[in-house]
Amino acid sequence: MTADTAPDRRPQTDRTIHVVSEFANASGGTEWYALNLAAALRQVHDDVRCWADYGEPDAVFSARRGIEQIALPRRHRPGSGHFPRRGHVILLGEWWLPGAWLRLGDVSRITQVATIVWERDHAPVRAALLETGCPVDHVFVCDAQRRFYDLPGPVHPVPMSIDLFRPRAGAAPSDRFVVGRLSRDVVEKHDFVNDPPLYSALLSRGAAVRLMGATCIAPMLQRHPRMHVMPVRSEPATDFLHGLDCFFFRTGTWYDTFATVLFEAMASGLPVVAHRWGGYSEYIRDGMDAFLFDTQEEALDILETLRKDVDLRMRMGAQARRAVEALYSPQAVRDRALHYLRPPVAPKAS
Amino acid sequence: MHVVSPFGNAVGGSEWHALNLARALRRAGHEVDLWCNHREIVAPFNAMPEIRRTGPGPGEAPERGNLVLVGDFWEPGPWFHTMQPRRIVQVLTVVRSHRHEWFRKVLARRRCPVEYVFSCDVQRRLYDLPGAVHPVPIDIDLFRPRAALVRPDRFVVGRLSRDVEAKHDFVNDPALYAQLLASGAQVRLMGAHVIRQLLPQGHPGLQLPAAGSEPAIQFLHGLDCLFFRTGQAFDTFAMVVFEAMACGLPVVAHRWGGYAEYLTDGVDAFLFDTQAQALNILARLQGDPALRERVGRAARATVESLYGKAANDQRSSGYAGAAPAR
Repeated sequence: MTADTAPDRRPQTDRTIHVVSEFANASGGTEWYALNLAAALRQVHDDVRCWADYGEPDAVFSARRGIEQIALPRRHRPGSGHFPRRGHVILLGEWWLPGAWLRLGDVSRITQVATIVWERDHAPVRAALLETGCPVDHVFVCDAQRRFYDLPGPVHPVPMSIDLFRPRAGAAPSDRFVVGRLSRDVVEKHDFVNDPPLYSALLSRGAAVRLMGATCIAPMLQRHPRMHVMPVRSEPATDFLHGLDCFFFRTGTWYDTFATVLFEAMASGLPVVAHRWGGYSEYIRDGMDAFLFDTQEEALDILETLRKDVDLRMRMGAQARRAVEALYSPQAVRDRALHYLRPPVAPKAS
Repeated sequence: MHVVSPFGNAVGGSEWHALNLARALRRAGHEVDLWCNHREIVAPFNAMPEIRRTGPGPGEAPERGNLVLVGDFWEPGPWFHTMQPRRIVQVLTVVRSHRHEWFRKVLARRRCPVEYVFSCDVQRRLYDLPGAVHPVPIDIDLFRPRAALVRPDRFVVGRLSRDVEAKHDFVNDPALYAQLLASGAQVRLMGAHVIRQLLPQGHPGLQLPAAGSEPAIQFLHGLDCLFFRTGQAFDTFAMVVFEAMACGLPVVAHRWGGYAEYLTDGVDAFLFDTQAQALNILARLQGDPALRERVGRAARATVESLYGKAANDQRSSGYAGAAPAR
């Protein structure tokens, strides 16, 4: 049941598609993947339900209508419980094992959408899914991830709403250069070796730096009037992105298979400068709709070029917007959603 | 002095760090007891009489003296709350353990001086704490160059590590190994089963021994070059890099690791930022046995300096006696 509604008693059939996520972390990309995937599926299918399978969902999600809370049956109460019983179950994330409900129902297909690269938990979770006797297929976010897991399945960009993320009104101010990023506020999302000196170099060249979700590396950052470090969710992502002139992205010990925020920045018409080590680089044409770099020197060179050249920023931002409009065109979104209605690709034996 | 570690992971860097630290302190003339945090202790540590198991009985736990805790990702056992430490030194072995803040409060409650030791400066800056930066102790008498330092007739590149995806750059390493094989080099990777599906299948020049399947010294003596790069892990030190250098091997390593702070690029090892740079360095080494020998000898000289008696005595003295005045 949702936090604010009674349990949904609509009958489940073999046509029902259940999108299931932990919904435990509102800053986690997987949870938003689940919500946006459910929305995309509803464009092509009329029986889609969204479930939370992890205790109490994050307050951000529990306040949303339409996310049902999985509840196991009570002992000695046959027929009780609220969970996906029939139809096609889509599990978001490969690191968590669904509760006992998955073995209690009679689902006809399980699709596991892999969102990270994490071998330790993937193998036992996959084995547990196969033990249900139900066909299991996979969807990936980038090809490097698919190759790592060595399983068949299509590679789909993470669903997102490009209508929510739009370029800001008016031209970019030419007298400033604000570089920033946002992410979960954890060390692995930052290159704590190279990012602090890069931000210092930007400040020394007159740029401003805004980092949302970077308090974990605050001790390493230069104190400067133009350096703004804020906790995650200090402001809405759209507002934050509209306050930037360039989006910078590089992780540390975390391999981002997609980095939704990077595409949100592109949808917002921002030029993006990102390290090549990330699944997003498979979707980007370097130098055309974003800039990819391998070294600190390259990153600084690109940022300096953008700082000096307002026209280049505008051109790159406009091209970035066109790139995400193509990636998330109604037809492309529909085609990817239809994948879940087609027979699955048979995975090879484990 | 009491050195304590969980000894719960046979290939865990912190466990070997604790063992080598206790030995280094003894070599410097200090009286040291080495303890496992709990009664359970994994192989091969369970066969080492120098590691004592903590328990509730008399003499089964550190009682008084200086306490050296290796790692901040574990929870000290019941012994910790009855011990009377004169001073606590916590050796931090990873970057920002999620247990660190909790552990810090536990230590603060003991109301005795607490100090920290780090493996690299970037780690110290990330923790934002004062403390010394020490290289992780290794036994350079065990890790010695093989009899014939250079084998001009072949070029075997390899690495060893824990067999987890985080220790490999699964995006770039497979392509690099494929290119090495195509150039006629051999590739030996111990602890790389986790990425075997990404590697050339059935290539006679590629060997993937399981982690721990042969002694590290034997494995290193079978190489002509150690290659090192991680993926979803930041190695604050990477003992294997220094063990390879102690064996007189040229090391080619990505710059993103705490070890880089101890190396002189192009002199006692090679550091790279990009795949193209790595391949270029490896090609040079493949074609130039004299370069391998020169860098290998410089590598050995560096570790001899880093782990020589004077350096070891100086670092060890920091753990002994009362806490320094602030």
